[in-house]
Amino acid sequence: MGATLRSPARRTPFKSGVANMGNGTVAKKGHILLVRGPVNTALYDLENEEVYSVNPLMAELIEGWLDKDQSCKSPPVKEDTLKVIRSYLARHPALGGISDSWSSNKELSKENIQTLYNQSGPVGLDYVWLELTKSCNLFCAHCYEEAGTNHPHPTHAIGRPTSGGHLPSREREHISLEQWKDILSEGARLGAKRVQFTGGEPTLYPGLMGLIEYARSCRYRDIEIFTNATRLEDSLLRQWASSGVRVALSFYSCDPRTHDTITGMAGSFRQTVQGIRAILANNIPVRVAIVLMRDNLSHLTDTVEFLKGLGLKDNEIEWDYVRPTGRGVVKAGLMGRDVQSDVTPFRSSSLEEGQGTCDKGFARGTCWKGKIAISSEGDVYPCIFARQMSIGKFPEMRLEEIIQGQYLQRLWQITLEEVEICRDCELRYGCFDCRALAQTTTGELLSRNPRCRYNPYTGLMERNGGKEMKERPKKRGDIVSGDVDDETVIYDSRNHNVHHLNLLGSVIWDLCDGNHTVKDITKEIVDVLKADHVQVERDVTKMIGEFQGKGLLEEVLK
Amino acid sequence: MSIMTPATELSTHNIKVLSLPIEITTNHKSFLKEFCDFTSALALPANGEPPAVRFRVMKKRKYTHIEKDGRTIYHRAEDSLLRPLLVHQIRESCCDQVRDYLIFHSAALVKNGRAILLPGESGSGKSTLTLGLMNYGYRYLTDEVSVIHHETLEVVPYQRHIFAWTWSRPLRQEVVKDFSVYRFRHDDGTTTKRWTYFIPQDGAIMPKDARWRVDRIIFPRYTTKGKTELKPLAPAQAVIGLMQNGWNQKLFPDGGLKICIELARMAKCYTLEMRNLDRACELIEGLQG
Repeated sequence: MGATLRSPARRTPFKSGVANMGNGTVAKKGHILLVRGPVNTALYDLENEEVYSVNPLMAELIEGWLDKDQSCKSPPVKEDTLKVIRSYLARHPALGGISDSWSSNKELSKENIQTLYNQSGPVGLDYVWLELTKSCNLFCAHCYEEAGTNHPHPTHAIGRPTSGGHLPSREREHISLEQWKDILSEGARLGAKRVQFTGGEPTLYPGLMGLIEYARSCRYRDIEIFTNATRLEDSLLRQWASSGVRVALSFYSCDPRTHDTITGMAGSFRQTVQGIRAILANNIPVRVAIVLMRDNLSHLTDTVEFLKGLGLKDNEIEWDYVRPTGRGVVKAGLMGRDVQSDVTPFRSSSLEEGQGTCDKGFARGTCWKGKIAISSEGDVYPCIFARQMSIGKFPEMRLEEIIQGQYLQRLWQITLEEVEICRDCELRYGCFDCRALAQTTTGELLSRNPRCRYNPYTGLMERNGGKEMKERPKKRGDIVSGDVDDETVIYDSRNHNVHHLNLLGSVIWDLCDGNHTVKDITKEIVDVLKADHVQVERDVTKMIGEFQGKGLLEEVLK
Repeated sequence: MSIMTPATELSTHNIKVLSLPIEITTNHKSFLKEFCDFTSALALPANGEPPAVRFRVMKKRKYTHIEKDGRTIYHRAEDSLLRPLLVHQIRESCCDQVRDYLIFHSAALVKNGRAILLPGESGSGKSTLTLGLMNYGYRYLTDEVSVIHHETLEVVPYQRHIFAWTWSRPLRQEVVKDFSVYRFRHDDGTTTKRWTYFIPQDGAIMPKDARWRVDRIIFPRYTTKGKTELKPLAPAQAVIGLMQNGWNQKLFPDGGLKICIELARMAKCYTLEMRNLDRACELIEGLQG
């Protein structure tokens, strides 16, 4: 028997135009979508691609306004009503806020949300990562693929069949140039429009230029090369410029020593900086991601200034996190959640505490939708960072077979409606979602993105995301609960939420009195139920985690 | 209530929301139009009772100015939020006045001295079901606001006009004869919906001082798919359903949880998937036996 806690979203009267797009209730009028969360409400302006997070009072006012619109005697929706709301919000910031990071979100359209959430047919392929080689001239501390100089250059594998008898087993696994071309043409046939050549270091792969030209002939619209920019010669860059590719690279610090420590090679800073200059000189579109790590946090701002000094524009500089994959496991462990939280505001500097907003928004479900990654050994993953989730093997399986497979289709069709906590959040229709990060961090496919700091049940940005648990959990003093038969109903007067607990949940709730540790609670339940200890402990921990996440327990004092 | 005449000068209107008599004085033309909607949907005429709350809604050049009991609560050059603001204010005032009662968004009917509550959000079929059940000898207590006393847990009649979306099937004559019926269309540019307005005549309603114990709680849900079904509901789920449909729980320190639990224990609880109105009414009628 598992413990359950169900929290229906708060509802207010005078609601109108109610449509159901999943679990929550949604009021919709023309291009305005009002999505109610447990505390705050999100107002989606689908025409201008903006999202406003508003507090309950403002939501009630807007609801009333939508209500008015339903009535037969009232005039139809006025064009300028949103302007009025916008100016109203601007004058009364306490009622809610406009999140700037959403305003340029071109993918937040009514059609996109509808297609996303009403989709029933299979999803098509859109994007392919090709990891041409595992070999790299650097040895970055956090590399997700554990690439480095210890892997042989795949020179001799080119053009040869993969079953070449005299090759050592490791190299035998390499995909040949012809096979890469097969993948590219089959991908294009299946509808892929974008491809990224990555590695290891893709410039170490001798057939790279041939593959770029081949991809171009297959009519890939967007071809990107992810390189460390240490080996970019002028002739190569001229070829790239003429074939219209884009370049992406990671950068770690404006301090040469820090950068070199992270990349594991002395002199790599100088080479990468030269590379960036050369890329810009050849007018190749580029994006540079600064990977946030404890080592480079102290001079993050300087690093941004340094990159701007090289001639990069604001929109060409991005942030990225270490994923707990490959060598990144260790680094991600060092890079605690608190540190990530501290730097998050860099990503969207205009956000203030208390204004409910997540990561930058793309209304397209999980990021990996329509994408596959193929490693140099032929393993196929839904994302380059989801190394534990092999979905097939090339060339044993055809690409088409993999894409039409139930497993991948299921992964692609995941939306935030299924993800725990997010499914109750009012911002779920516009939020970016990295399933690979959530899966690798928590081990659960449908767990919440650990980066997200917004707690929809309290309507607040949280530093620790409610993950820290008191040793002896204690329910909040102002929570009211009542027993009905063997079950419990809890009322949270802070946000007027009602929660429902089954029998086991009720027992755990009763024992959260500040005197019992998780172990004590488990022991008591095991003694009474004579149930499996491991199972009960898992249930208890999960349940208390949910209590904590929904703000039902007393906070940890720091 | 002579609110239909266009206001060119100051006009005063007396209405009653729940048990609260309210006086609204206004010279604001566009507000008056909204006010008509509001009063027809929520309020009753207050017949000569002294007002407990006075609102003044004034248009002064480009500014709209609202006073509540002489205190300014709104002074702006825009009108779009006028009605929600006023509704909010009136509701707050009303809820303050009815501290002893928990108010649900629910219909209520009575037959053989046993009351039946039909809580549900807008569009769940409360009003239609109310009209349907009246064909089976149920008497009308309320179709929108059920007022429950916090100690006796009895339901108080609150009769107002019934505003129902006209279903495909015409309502029977015996129900209609108890009401003055007005039909109209609502055209929002894309769809046209037909609405019917029922104003109860004296014979259709229960005396205002009568009190009824709640015997059954049924959560209706209008559905276009599946069949009409009445299923028993676990009390804990019923408590949540009631809490979700509460209007003034904020006034109670426990959010009305105790009252809801008592109600769910006392009454038998069901959910009703409603596709066919006649079938739904038959099922509910079957419970009485």
